[in-house]
Amino acid sequence: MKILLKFAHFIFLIISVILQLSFLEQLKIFNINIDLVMVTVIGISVFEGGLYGLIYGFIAGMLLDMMIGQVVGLNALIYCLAGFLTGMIMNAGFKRKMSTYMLLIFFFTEASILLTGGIYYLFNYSASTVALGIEMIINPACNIAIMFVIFPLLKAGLERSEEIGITYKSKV
Amino acid sequence: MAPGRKNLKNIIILILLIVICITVITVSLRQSDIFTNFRLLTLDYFKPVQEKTFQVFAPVTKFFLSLRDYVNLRDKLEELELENASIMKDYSENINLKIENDALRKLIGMDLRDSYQTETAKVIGYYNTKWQSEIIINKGKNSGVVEGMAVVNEKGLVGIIILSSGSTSNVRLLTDPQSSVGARILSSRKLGLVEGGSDKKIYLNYISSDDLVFKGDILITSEYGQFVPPELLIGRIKKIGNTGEALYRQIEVQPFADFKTLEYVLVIKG
Repeated sequence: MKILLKFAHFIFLIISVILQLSFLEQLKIFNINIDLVMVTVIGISVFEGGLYGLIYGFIAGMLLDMMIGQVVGLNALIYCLAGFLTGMIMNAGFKRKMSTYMLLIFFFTEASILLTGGIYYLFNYSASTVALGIEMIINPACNIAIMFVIFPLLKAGLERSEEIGITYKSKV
Repeated sequence: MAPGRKNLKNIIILILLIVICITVITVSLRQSDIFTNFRLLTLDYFKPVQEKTFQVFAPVTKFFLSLRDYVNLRDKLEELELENASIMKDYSENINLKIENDALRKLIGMDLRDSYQTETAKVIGYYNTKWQSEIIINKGKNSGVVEGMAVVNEKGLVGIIILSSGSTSNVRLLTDPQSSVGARILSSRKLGLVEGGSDKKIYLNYISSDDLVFKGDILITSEYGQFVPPELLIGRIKKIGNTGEALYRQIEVQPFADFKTLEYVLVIKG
C-alpha cells in the first residue's frame, strides 16, 4: 500500500510539472507567481521523508529543466536541496502543523529566488533589485496559498493508507 | 535501519545529486549539445499531455484575461477609435503607394515582394520567469520548423525558435533577457538591436545619442538577419530615456504583439 502511495505521489508530482508549464506560468501575467512543483516537493518531503523529497525533487526539477530550462540542472538542484532540507528540519522535531509548513514554504521560496538570482548573476545576467524585491514578497505568499490545497491532498492519501492498514490488521 | 545510518545514506545521495546537478549546469552553460537530444525527447514525449492540459485550462486563463480587459475597456475603446481614424486615413494612401511601388519595381526590374511561407502553430506551454520568457508550440522539425525561424502573430514579431524537436518547438519571446533581434526605425531607417531586459521590457539599443528618434516611431526587423525576414513589425517607441553623456540612447519599445494572449502563432519558414 505504501509503495502504491509513493507511486501516487510521484504521479502527482509529474502532474504538477505539467500544470506548472501549461497553466500556472500564464498566471504570472497577473503577478500570481506559484511554484507548484516546489510546494509539492516540500509536501512529499514532509509526509514521506527527506529521501523521497530529495529524489522526487531531483526528478521533477530535471524534468522541468529538460522541457524548458535555460540552465539545465538549476531547478533540479534547488528542488532536491529543498526536499532534503525539509526532511532534515522535520526530523529535527518540529511540530507537524500548518504554521511549520508555512514557515518551510516561505523559507525555501525565498532561498530558491536568491539562489537562482545568484547563479544567473554569476553568469553575467543583469539583475533588477526592484523586480527581485517584488518577487520575494509575492512568490512566498502565492506558494503558501497553494500549500493549503496541495498539503491536504498529499496528507489525505497518507491518512487513507493508515486507515486501510488498521482495518487489515484488525481482521487478521 | 538505524537513524544515523539512514541520515548518512541520505547525505551520500544528496552529495551525489548535487555533483550531478553542478556537472549538468556547467555542461549546459557551455552550450553543449549533449543535453539537446534528451531535451528533444522529453519535449516530444510530453507533448500530447501538455497540449491537452493547455486546452483544459485555456478557459480559466481566458477568464482572468477578460477580467483584466473589462477593467480597461473604456480606455481601450477610446484608444482603438483614435487608432481606427488614423488607419482609415492612411489606408487609401497606402493602396496608392503600393500600386506606385509595384509599378516602379517592375520598371527597374526588381522582383515584387513575395509573401512568406508560414506554418500555423498552437501555443501549448509558457515559461515566464525574470530570467526567461519562452513559449512551447506544437510544431517542430516534422513540419519543417527549425531553430532560428521567426515567429509572428497577426500583430507582429513574437520571437525566435531556439529549440526544435520532432513535434514541438521552444520559442524565445522578445521579452526574454537573452533575446536580440536586428531592427530598423521605419521613419529614419536607423539600425539598432531590439533586446529584452531583466524587467520584462523591450529596448532598442545601439542608437547613437546624436540620432533623432521620436516617440511613436515604428520598428521593423532589419534585412541583415540570417533567418528573420525583413520588414516584420516589432513595435513602437514608447519612451526615450535621458542619455546625458552616454554614447547610445536608452529607448523603450512597446511591442505590437501581446505576449500575454498568445494562442496561435505563425512560424515564418522562408
